[in-house]
Amino acid sequence: MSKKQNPHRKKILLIKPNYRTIGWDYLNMDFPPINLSYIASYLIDLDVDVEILDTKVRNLSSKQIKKKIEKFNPDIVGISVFVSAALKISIDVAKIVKEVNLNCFVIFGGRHPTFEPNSTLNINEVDILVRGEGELTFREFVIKGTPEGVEGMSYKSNGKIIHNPDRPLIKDFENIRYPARELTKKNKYKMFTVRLETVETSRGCPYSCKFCTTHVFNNQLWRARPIEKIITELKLISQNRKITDIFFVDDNLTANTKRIENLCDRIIECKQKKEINDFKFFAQIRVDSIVKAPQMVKKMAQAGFWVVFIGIESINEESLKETRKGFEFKKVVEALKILHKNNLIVLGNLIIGLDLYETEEDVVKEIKYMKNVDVDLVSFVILTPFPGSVVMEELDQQGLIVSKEWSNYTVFYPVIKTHQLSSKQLYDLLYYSYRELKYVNNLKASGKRLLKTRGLLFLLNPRRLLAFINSFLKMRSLFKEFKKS
Amino acid sequence: MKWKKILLLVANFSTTGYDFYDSAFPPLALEYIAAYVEDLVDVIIIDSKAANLNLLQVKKKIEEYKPDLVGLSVPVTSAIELVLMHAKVAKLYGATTVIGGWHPTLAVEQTLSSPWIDILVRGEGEFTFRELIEKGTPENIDGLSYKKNGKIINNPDRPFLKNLNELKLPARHLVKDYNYKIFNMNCDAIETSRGCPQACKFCSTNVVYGRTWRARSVENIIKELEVVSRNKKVKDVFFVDDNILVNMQRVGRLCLEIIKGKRGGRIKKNLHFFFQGRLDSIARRPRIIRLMAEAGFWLVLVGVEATDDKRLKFVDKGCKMDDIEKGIKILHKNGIIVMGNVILGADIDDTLKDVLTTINRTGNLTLDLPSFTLLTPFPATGFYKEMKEKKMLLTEEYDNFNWLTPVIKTNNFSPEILKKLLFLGFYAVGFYAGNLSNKIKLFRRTVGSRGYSYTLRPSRIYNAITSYLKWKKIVLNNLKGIKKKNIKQIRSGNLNHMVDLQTEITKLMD
Repeated sequence: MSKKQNPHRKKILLIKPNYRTIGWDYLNMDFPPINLSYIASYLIDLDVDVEILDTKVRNLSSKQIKKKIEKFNPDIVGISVFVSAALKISIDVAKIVKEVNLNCFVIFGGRHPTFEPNSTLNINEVDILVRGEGELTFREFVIKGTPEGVEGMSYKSNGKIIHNPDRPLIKDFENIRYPARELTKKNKYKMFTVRLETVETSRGCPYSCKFCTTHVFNNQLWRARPIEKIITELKLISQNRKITDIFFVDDNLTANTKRIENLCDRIIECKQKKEINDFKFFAQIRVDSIVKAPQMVKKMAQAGFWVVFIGIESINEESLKETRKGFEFKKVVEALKILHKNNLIVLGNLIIGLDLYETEEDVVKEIKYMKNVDVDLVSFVILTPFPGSVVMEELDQQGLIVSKEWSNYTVFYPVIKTHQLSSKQLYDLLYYSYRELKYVNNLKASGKRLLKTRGLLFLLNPRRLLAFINSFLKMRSLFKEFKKS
Repeated sequence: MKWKKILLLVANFSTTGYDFYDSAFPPLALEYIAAYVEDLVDVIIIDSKAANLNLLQVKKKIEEYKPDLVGLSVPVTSAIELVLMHAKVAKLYGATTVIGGWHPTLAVEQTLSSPWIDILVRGEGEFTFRELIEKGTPENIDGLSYKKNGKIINNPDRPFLKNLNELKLPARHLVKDYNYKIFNMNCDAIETSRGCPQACKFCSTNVVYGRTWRARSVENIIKELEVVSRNKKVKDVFFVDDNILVNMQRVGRLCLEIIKGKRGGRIKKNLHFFFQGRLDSIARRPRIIRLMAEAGFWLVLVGVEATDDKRLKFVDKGCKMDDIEKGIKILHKNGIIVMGNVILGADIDDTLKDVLTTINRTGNLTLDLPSFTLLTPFPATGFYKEMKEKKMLLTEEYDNFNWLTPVIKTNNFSPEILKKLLFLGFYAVGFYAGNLSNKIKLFRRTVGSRGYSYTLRPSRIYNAITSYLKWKKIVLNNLKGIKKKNIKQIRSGNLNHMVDLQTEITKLMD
């Protein structure tokens, strides 16, 4: 049955709002909306039209968004609120949708709506919420045509908010469908001039860091997909020869180190057989898994990993313990040695105000100390209590949250104070950290590593150099803004 | 109401070990009890320890006041005989006698079998006692045990009070005429939590409270500190909690509020605090200890208990040697004086070499005010039952349960030798810490937290000298029989240098 034969087919539009994070955007990052692709993959076999509108990669203004919506004229619009700070811009999109067609269902999903269902549903433009994993919930809603009785949905009925019971996590996660990448293939996703795709190999995290919501969202569970499925997905992506990089979006890729070793073995094998592109990978991994399995890191490097992102959070044992990070700082030092032996570039992040009792001197000491730690790119952020995290609860109890304005929850703006530091002090310390660390910690060593993993041609690409200068200038202006405030 | 005049009595007990320091603490337990009945009846507290009264003087006081009910608290197990003697005086005078405290709670039948006790309050006494006074009879009141026609009747337990914030403040005005002192300075006491989640072998807290821990809110504690602050004499406040550091967040917020209160003038600026704490909690949160020092906590009583992991495990302390060393370091870094206790013979299989090693290691821990005790099982604890079953108890006379008298058999020592070793320990690590550099550090820390005028106060120096002499006399008395020359060897701190001492003790052991 073709489209024209059934004029009553429902039209579903999934929108990624055009949300920009101030800090990270100097790297020009545009990731494919894999979350929406997953949802779409559970809809395309139904008798409906599904489209994904990524307003970020195309940098659409509200006028352009309105035009797009008018053209498609959807019956259902799903908007992903992937971080709390994106709520405001998501609401703007919802307003546009309602302007075009008042009867169109507007559905919000993501972590923020999951943990703040009441306040999000109180927004006029929002009709329905998807709490938790969206794939099956959204599908059931589209089949039924009504949110009533759909597990994991909250909705408004006669002005009253109704929460359906939670939906259990997807049981058969091994057989989860491949994300519907064909819906986004027209967009060019890049991170710092590199064409990339995202792949999810597992969901959840067995750890329970206080500032994180992953373990709450996933019920402390960690579920992984079988290696062969991931390889098939990589083969599918390889059909587009231009894509050179893969970002594993897993919250905790290396929860099972043996699995990653096997995955890397398979990737190496497939690369030799030219079944997949010569991909380079980057991922977020935990420090303790590196120390536990150095041979895994070696294999990762062989398979094509070139950047890893690690959460250092603090150099202070006390803070790490207090936040239930689950390792000590000496493990970080060990891990750095292992990573750099394999020529991996390391991005590390630390949190200012992680311990509510740390003083200004403590933080300054920490920042100065980090200058001598061989992390290629150190970033500092301010402790931000995301809805659903233990930190949110604790800070709220102690009256330390100063702002509930979600658009400020960017981790680069203080929305809290601690027992020892005021909001202004936190902000000053953040500024101080960036000024002290001078963008790149050890330019020479990082350059060498880059040369070894990506080659000289990668570096000398004029477009890349231009982009580099561009982001440098962006970053400079960001600092000037900092200074002004 | 049957009873109209109530006298609450503190016996003039002495704890051999700690009386070196000449201290008398306020009877907080009785103040709490009094607060719950003073609106119903006449009530006074007589503290014969603070006033140093003997039995005859107490008898006179009773005859003067003419109470129809006398309440007695048993502060420690070793004081029970003395308390019963006070009960006898009260009973012979014609008053009803009520007894309460940890020891009576743990040894109900035994305590009630004394002819001088009529009623026994088990567990928390505030509401039980009030109900008793209201009803005039112990029948059907939860938490009471009493005698009826010569038979002991145990009423059901009273559940623990759920919310400690609801407690009335202790009736401090009833003891305002007494001078309570620690190190020759006026002090008061405050309780911010009850119970302890740990279950150390030698402790009875977990038996009394069943491993529960309930805490008062920070606001509630500050309110009481403001009341304490109004007493101009008081310079020190003792936090009597069994384990104040269970929730470090609460301690942190308490310190912040104290600092705020001191700045705002609601709490006296020169108010200092001392407390009992676990070293592993301290090692976990150095930043909160820093805050404690800032708030005015200047002295801490810690239980080191043993000097190696094996023995720490044997007493179920629940922490490691690393934590202990780290904790002491952190406290010293913040200028807090550490009073620490080590159990000698924490393992029943200890040999002479083990005990001497423990003494040496204690000396190396750089505790400011170290002390030694012997492993003592308290009634109703699992350890006591175990010892009794194995017939390892040397005595069941509670006078001896004072931590300094051997009450259990050890495999390698006779009781006399064990006692000698204990005082050898005292001699080795010394009064006010072992060597000169430690003493200087202690002096510096005292000056740092309390200032020169406190440290160099003549009455305090006099006090320090007299208690030193007292201590020395006791120690040397107990070491009679060992040659002085050999005793001095223990100060060398090296087992190889203690050959003569070891051979002499071995000879004594045979």
